Amino acid sequence: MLKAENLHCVYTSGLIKTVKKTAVCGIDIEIFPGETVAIVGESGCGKSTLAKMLVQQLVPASGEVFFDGTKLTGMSWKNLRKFMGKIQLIPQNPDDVVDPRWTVERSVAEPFVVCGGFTREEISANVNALFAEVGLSAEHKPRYPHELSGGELQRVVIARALALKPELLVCDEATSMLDVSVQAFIVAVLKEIQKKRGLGLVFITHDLEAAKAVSDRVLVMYAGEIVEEGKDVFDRPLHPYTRALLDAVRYASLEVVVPEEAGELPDGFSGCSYFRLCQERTDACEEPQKLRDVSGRLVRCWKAK
Amino acid sequence: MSDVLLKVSGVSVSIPTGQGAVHAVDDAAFSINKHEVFSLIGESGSGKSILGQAIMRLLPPNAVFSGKVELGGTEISALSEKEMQKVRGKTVASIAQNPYLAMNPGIRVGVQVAEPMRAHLGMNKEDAKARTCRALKYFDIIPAEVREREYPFQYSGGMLQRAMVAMGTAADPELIIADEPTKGVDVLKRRNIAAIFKKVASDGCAFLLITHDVGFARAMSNRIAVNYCGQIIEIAEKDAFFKGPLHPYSQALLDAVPERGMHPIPGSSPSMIEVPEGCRFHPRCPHKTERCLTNPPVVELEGRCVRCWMYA
Repeated sequence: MLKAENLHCVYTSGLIKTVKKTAVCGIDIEIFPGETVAIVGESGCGKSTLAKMLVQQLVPASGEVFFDGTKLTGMSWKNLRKFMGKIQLIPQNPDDVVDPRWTVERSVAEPFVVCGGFTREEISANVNALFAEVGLSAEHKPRYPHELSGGELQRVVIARALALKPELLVCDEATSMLDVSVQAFIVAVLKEIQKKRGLGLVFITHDLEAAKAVSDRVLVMYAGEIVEEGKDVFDRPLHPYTRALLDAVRYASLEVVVPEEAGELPDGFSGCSYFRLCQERTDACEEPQKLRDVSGRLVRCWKAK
Repeated sequence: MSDVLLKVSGVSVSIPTGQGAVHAVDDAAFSINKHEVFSLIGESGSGKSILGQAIMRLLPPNAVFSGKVELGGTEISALSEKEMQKVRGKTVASIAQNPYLAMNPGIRVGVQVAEPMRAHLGMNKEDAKARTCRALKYFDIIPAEVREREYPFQYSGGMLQRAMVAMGTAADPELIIADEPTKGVDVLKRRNIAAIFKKVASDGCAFLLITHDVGFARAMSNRIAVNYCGQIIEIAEKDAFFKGPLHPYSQALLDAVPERGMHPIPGSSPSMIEVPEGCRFHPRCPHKTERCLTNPPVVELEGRCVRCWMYA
């Protein structure tokens, strides 16, 4: 359904002495209808940048995004509009994306108004149906965002994202700021909607356990690259970084790892991006690493067997 | 001398608001032993943080407090503000949720870390500075001599959190109250925080961890208390708790964590202004009966406490 090839993103900062930072380098990703894909990685590994490029909020430095075979990157804004409703982003912090001066009902109705071609009655009926779908009652409708709890507001954002009948939802850390019980509830809502509508779901998170609970397939990202991809990543992690993440979530060893003091990579280093933190590194890791197929799993580590 | 360090009995806090009084803490009673890591878990808005603030006597000025808090034999809830200032930072220290908000952005980190030593241990500037450098080194903030002269914005989030722990432990407190130390922090940093806390705990400092992160509480603590809607509904040893929680809410909470399949708790959290009659969990409880409409007793069962009619 959605396919991205060789995505790159570079952020530049500074006017005179320009500093370039590569946030995403060379990511290929494919999402099939009705599938849940989890993208896991620590903060700052480029997960959110990738999400924004998938939903066309950010123009990639190079690379292409296809939706049902149509190339989205480089399309004119007018043509792109038709596809915007099909791919929706649910952000980490719902407060950032709803207007605090509007009632949540108006926020949810906005997509219909923007698209046009709906009568007032149709909009109201659609909004009611959406509120019911995410488990909110009619009494929530006239409220303002500050009058709702985090979980309720997140459901409002989901309701709005569903308005234009999307085929793909990209959830960027949609649950990581919420409590466990609310988190479980939001995930249950998303799963039910997915079952009913056959949506594709991209679930971006730093919590491997949450990813395991929701997804069919997992991509592990590190420093803007995919280091491991597959179905049973958690039972049999092959990349050292995946193992480190799993140990962390299970508190396997309580030793402090301080990334900022592990030393900088030498200039022009083209080897494994996980080189400086890897416990199992050898001289051979200074060679560039490629994603390899290891018994149905893609791994960016030459040691994986 | 008994082993009890902190004893909280019958503490209630209510905060008047425009819509009515919020009963944030209702009849909280627990004790923390020396060298013990005690976790208070519960959803946000269940009154955990207010309970922590009540112990530190840092409640908002309009809050109504009743009950008794004893720390090492002295009743700190009855101390004057001036006497309390001698306790804060010396015997009990708190580590705030967001280090960027808790540190003064205009004062060098070293000076802030040294403040408890200067105020409570009567150290002079040079001694305090030397000890600050040692403390920063201990928490992997190196080179300490350089870092101590920097301002909070020059630190990364994780480093500043470690500096906060250094500040909290500067005057060798007996108890540290950490409020949501892992909120919004990714797994690797969360593990680092756990490692640092373990390090401090192994030096003999007791902890009150206020958190909604069940996994973190499990990795860290000796005993666990579960808070729901302002009430502590269960207190148990960690292993016993995770093997078989007694209260229906504890069971539902554990089923909601990702490791156990993320089953949502039916219903929604009640309002803290109009709390449900009787047992506060009964509208969402799968085992509710007629008697749940009256206040459940606190039942003691093999060293555990549970506030539920099922065990009465």
